[in-house]
Amino acid sequence: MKAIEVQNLTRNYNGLRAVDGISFSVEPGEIFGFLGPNGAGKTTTIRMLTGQLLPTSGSAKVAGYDIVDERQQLKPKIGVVFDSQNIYERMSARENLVFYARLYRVKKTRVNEILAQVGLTERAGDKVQKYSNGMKQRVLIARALLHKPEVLFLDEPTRGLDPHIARDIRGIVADLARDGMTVFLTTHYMEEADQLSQRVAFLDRGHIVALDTPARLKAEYGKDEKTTLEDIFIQLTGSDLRRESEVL
Amino acid sequence: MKTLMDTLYTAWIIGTKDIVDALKNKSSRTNIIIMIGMVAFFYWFGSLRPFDKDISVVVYDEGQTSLTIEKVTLGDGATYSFRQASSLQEMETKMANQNLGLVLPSDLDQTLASGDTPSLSGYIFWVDRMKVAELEAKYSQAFSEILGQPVQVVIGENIIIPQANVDGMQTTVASQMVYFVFTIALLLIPHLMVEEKQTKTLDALLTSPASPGQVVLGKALAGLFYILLTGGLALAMYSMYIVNWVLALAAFLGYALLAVGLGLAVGSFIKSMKQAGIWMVVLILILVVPPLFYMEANLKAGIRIFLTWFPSSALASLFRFSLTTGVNPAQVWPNLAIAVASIAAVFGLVIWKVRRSDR
Repeated sequence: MKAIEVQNLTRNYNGLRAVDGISFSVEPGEIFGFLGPNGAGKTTTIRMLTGQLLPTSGSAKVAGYDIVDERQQLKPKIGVVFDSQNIYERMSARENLVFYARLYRVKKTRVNEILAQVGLTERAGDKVQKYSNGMKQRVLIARALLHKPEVLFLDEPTRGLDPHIARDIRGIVADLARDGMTVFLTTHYMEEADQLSQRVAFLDRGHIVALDTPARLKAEYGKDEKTTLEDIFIQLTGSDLRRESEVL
Repeated sequence: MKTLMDTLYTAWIIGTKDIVDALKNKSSRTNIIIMIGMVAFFYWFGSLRPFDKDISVVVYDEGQTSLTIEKVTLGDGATYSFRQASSLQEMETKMANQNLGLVLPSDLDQTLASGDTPSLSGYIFWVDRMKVAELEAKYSQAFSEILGQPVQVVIGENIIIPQANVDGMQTTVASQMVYFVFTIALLLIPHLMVEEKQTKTLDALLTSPASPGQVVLGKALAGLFYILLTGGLALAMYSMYIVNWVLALAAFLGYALLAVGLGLAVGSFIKSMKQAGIWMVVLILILVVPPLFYMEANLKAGIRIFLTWFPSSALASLFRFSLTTGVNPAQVWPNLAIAVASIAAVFGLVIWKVRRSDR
């Protein structure tokens, strides 16, 4: 069974096609990079795959559950780190996690475990509003991992973080994949995607324009050995620039 | 059964989180304290308290006695003010917002002249029967001091419970309940939804095992807690007026559910607390004005009927009936139907809106 299986998934917003008939699959235990410029449809895809948004057409299964018909069964199988730091700021990290532990019917001892895993044990009792961005991101990751999901969705998990914390978070993600968790990762940092992902998909204007391992993509589209994933990304998804020049 | 218990447990988890979170929020705490202060203020200045020091009395003088009683302050600092009535019936009507009705017997002059102790009939509203003897002693002592010789005020069974169709204190109390419950609800409950949307924590909540219905139910529980703080306090304070507790509790539950539903509806449809403020003012006016005026005798019949169709008027009627006698079931059912239909419609709207977050 595939961890994620997507068939012709489409989503329209007010007549605009945000995601246009994409199909792909992700193997269990794989880190899958889902890359694209702003507005390409990455977050819309994640929202559909996590049951937050209904597709206009097409279908998808995550952890074996249909994203439309089996949404409630799907929820305990997935963890989501959103692109915004959506945590209860007046509560401490521990209170946030205890709240979600109760919703997921997870034992409270797991909260201590996960706090230690993300390195927040010492400050767990402080209000989240006193945390740095990096610490908040750790809380988000802890929340997503609390119930040991089969598939973890990470929507730009290192955006705006300083390099040390970003590296720590990449380390956590790599460890998770080593332990067999499937990770669906969107990021703007090509180096990060290159380093972490077994395969990457480039999304542009709602279409997947390339999907393969970073090495094969470099081999196929690169001009020489120095070609980076970022070079290929810009080559294949220059639509932002195209759009801007169209407007100008 | 398991699903129901699971739903209630999840709602409880969300509701208690919201309550704890609100108590940590300075602005929510301030609003709650202000509203509790308002309940106490309205109660203190607007309700009948027969054990207070300021007593207003309606006097029916059966025999046109030679007594002229004017406002008087007694040795213990208690002040008595008086209004005249020309019949027993008028006395009861005029007593709508007064503490005591007093009948001066036709032979009062003679009894006083002979040095005997005259017996004056006293009438009071709603008061607990267990306290009648205490009130009789208090008023006997007061009127002995006023008249300069011993008199006895006998209340006995003269406890007046207002009629269902009569305007008076009962209408004021019922509309005050509307104000207390709906103001706190519209002040705080939209925040429960708006903040979750603004901080996008609602997205996290909806990807957790909680369903949209459970989220709404959890928010409703938190809303009920706010309402219990102020509306519950008002209910406790006005409990001495309540004649029919079943109706009173049904009406209070109706107030609470409609207020929670409206608060959540506002929170579901708007995007910021600034918008919530505008909606709050509009809705409070729409909700509070009709129950204030629908019993007004000078209103045109058409307008009065129109005002009775408002859900807040229907609930105020139910609560008013719980303070009165002579309630006809035919008066209760239409109000109950309006209340139940409004509550169902408002909660349906909220669940529909939250479910549509995936569209």
